[in-house]
This record gives sequence, structure tokens and C-alpha cells, in this order.
Amino acid sequence: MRLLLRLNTVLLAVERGFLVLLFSLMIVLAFSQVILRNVLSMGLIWADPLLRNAVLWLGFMGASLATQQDKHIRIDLAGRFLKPRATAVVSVVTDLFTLAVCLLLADASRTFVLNEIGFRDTLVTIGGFDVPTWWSQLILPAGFILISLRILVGIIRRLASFSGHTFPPAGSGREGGPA
Amino acid sequence: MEVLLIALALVVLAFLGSPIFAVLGAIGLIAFHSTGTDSSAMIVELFRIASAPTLLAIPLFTFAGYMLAESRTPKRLVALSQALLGWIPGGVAVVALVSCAVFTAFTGASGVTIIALGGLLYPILREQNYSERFSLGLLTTSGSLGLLFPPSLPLILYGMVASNARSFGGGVPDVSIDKLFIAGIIPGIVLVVLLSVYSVRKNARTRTIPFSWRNALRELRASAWEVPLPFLLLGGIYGGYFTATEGAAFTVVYVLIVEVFVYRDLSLTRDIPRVMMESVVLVGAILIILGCAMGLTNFLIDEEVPMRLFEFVRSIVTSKAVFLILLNLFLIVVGMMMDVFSAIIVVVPLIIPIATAYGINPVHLGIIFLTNLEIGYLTPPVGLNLFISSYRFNKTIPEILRSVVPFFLILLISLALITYVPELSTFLVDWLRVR
Repeated sequence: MRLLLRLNTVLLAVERGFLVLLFSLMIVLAFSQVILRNVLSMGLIWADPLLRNAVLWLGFMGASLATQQDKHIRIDLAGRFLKPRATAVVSVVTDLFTLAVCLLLADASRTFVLNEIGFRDTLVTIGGFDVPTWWSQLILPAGFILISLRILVGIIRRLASFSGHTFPPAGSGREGGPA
Repeated sequence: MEVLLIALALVVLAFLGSPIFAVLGAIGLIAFHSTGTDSSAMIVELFRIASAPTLLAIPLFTFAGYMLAESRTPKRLVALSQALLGWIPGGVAVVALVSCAVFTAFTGASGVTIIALGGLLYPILREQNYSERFSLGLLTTSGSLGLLFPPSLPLILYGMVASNARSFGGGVPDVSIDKLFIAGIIPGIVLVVLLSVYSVRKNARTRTIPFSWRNALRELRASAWEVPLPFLLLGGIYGGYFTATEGAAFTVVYVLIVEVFVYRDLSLTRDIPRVMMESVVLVGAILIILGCAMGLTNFLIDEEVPMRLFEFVRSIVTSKAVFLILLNLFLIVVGMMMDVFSAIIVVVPLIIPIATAYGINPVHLGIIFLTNLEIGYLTPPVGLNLFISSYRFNKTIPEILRSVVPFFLILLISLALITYVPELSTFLVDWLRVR
């Protein structure tokens, strides 16, 4: 169990670094396109599809961080009226439900990517190199697995806090945790 | 029977606070399973969001908005509007309305406005003798004002979802982001003006801030780098220099340079990565809902659910006018329960074909839609702004509720105008020949 929490913390640090790098590169590339088109009347053909796929990566990793920080969008009716203790119990139920859905979606994504590898589609061609579409699609199963991991960690923490045991809050949101 | 039980279970899970993406994902999985389709078909649809041309605009505008929110822009914005409008009797209320609207256009409505600007404006209002009840109502209302102005995120999302629904056919006319950006301007101004008229009349005897050219010029100079942004962005888009998505890239770079290197409000190494992560979390929360809804939307359209829904509605409602009333009531309830992003993603694909069949222009529909969601934020008992405001200003929910009543009524009047005078939304689009 501690191993799982440890793994989560390491992954969080890696993800954060990767996201900042990815987002910065996206901004540079997107802005270069504007300049290239207006000043030199040219553009990189591969940039637009690549950028859109990068948004998908950004989105899925962002969604896994949203899980970690409990920032998913929900219809929060119960939370506004229930007592804290009741809210905690309800959370475990909704977490288990979300976990089940994510695992099923991860499995569906696995089938999807395996099928797509067979199709041999090309996403973009950069300098003569064909980037296979499935490379980008890998984020789908990976993303759902990451989200599942985060939910599992959340459930463990919650159950532990019921029994009075608390784990160190490594990587819990923006405070603490490696930036 | 079985279907009913499952539906009931999912509704309960949603109301208990399950993430919306999980509920949509579950519905999609069950739907595909019921027709014997492999669940990977759902992922095929999910991956289609990567081919939406405006997808990139979402993270870029979100990040630009978060940078503005974290910098001292709100302060400068308030100071500038105060210098320009503070001399009008009741003018400080107008200052609040205008600065909140401008701010929300750039940050998207997610409570950021009440948190970032409410705290600045509340003391100013109270200092100028505005009553506590009026000030609370005003700021709670202003929290979602500005949704209709470009480049608000909900407008972009509506354009994306509507274009996707359109790709399934059904004769829905084109809904480009360029049209939506222009369509929202007059209705947005109507909202701000009506609220301003009420505020000025109500506070004719409050203190004013004398106008001075010196003061106005000083504040203009202080925000000399921020004031041009909306004009550069819109000028660039409609002058043909860039698309809305490229405009987003321009906005990010412009804001980054201005806040980091000119004003030095944000540090490139300490603040920017943190603000980036915050925006990525919001983008992730929106995109995963969008992704999980794609499969479901596709399924519903394959099963001709919007058409059947239309047949059903048409058998009860024959006139467009009555349909619009029902639509508004329905959307206010949706806006009360759901945040603006999931409401757009879930409801728009179902409503667009029906509304089109009733002869409603989808661009006009978008503006009606967003105005309703804006009002939904204030609708008791569960509108989100009520809670954010109660938390921010440390007041009880009943106090906040009493304070928003007059504002709520004005918004309803504006909604009626926006709904029944489609020209408010379409005039500029036609006049400027936006495509």
C-alpha cells in the first residue's frame, strides 16, 4: 500500500514536469504558426494535427491531476447539505463507482489502441518520418489507468482517515508535494 | 424496469457527487453494451475530439485567463473603471458590473470572478455608502456576467459542441466561433446596461468619485498594456490576421510577456508553472467530460433520440414562442444544477436539432443558452454563485438569496428580450457579414 502511494508521488512529479514542458512547447509552436503564416505566408502542415493531439495528452494528464486534487466537475448537491462525516462515506461510494467506470474505459481504450495499431494510420509526417496515429492514442488507456490509480489512492487515504490513521500528504494538491 | 432501475441508480450517483465524466461514461458503456457494440466504439468517438479544429483554443484561453486572474490585472481594471465611471451617481456599481464582465470574458465563469474581484470591489462599494444588501447582490450577480463576451470559454465550447452535433446532419446551419464571438456582444451589453440602469437609479444618492483628467490618464497609463488586448484580439480575428485558435495563441504570448516582463506581476519560474498546472487541471476536467460525452452523443443520435424527442415535444408544443418559454425554464434548471461546461456538453447536442426544427438559429440558441446558464448560477436553492458568494463574503445563504432578488428579476427581463428579439444576437453577425 505504501508502495502504491510512493509510486503515485513519483508519477506526480514526473507528470508535472512533463506537462509544463509540453504546454510550453505547444504555446511556442502555436505562436510560431501565427507568425509564419502572417509574416512569411507559410505554415507547418504537421503543426495543427500535432497540437490538437497534444491537447488530448494535456487533457488526460490534467484529468488525472484533477482526480488527485479532487477538482472534477460534479453536481455537488449532496456536499452542500450533508454533514462532513456523511459526505466522507458518500465519497467512498462515488469513488468506487468512478473507479469501476475508469477501469472499464481503460480496457475499452486498450482494445481501441490494439485495433488501431493494425490499421497503420499516420498521424503526421515530420521531415520524412511518419508518426503512427496509435502513438498519440496511447494516452487514452494510460490516462484512464492514471485516473484509476489516483482514485484508488484517494480511497485508501479516506479509509485510513476513518480508522484514525493518516498518511503523509505527499503530493496532495498544490501545497506540499514536489512542484 | 431494469432500464429504469439503472437510470435511477445513475441519477442518485450523480446527485451524490460522482464526477460528471464518470456518470456519462457509465451511461455510454451501458448504452453500447445494450446494442451489443464493443465498448471500444466509445473510445473511437472519444478520440474524435482530437480532430476538432478549435480544440487548441481551450487550453490557451484558459491559461491566459488564469494568468490575468493571478496578476494585478483585476486591481488595475477596477482602478481604471473607477477613474472613468466613478463620477456617475451610482457609478461605483457600474464600475463593478463593467470590470466583472470584462474579467469574466477572459477567465470563463467558474467563480473566479467573485473570488478575484469581489474582494476588491466589496470594500469600495461599502465605503461609498452602498448598502450591504445591494453590494452583495450586485457582486453575486456580476460573478457570471460577461459569459457572452468574446473570448469566453463557454462560447468556444458551445461552438465546438454545436459543430459536432451539426456533423451528424439534421440541417443545422453553421455555428462558427467567429459568429458566436460577435453574436454575444449586443446581448452582453443589454445585460450590463439594464443592471447598470437599476443600480444607478437605486443609488442616486450615494457618494461619487469626482472625475479628473489627471486621474483618468494615470490609470489609463497604468493599464496601457492590458486595455489594447481585447481590441487586438478581435481586430486580429475579424481583420483576417488570425483564426480564433491562433488568436488564443497570440493572447497567451501577449499576456505572458506583459505580466512577466512588463508589469513583473508574475515570476516566470515561480508563478508560471503553477498557473499552468492550475489551468491544465481545469482543461482536463472539461475535456474528459467532453470525451466521455462524445460516445454517448453519437449513440443518442444513431438511435434518433433527438428526433423522437422532437416528435414528442411537437405533439405538445405547437408554437415557437411557447417552445422558447419551456426551453428557458428547462435551461435555468439545468444551469442551477450543472456548471456551464457540462451543461453545454450534455444538453446542446440534444437541443440543437429540436430548436432548429422550430426555426431557431443555432447562433441565437447559443446566446439564449449561455444567458440561461448565467441566470442558473443565481437560481435558488442550489445556484453555484450563491454558495461562492456566501463563502467569500462570509454571509448566510438566506442573506445572499434576499440580496440577489432584484438582480435576478432584471436578468429574467433581459433573458426575455434576448430570447424574443433574435436580432439582438444576429444583427451584428449579419451586418458585419461574419462567416
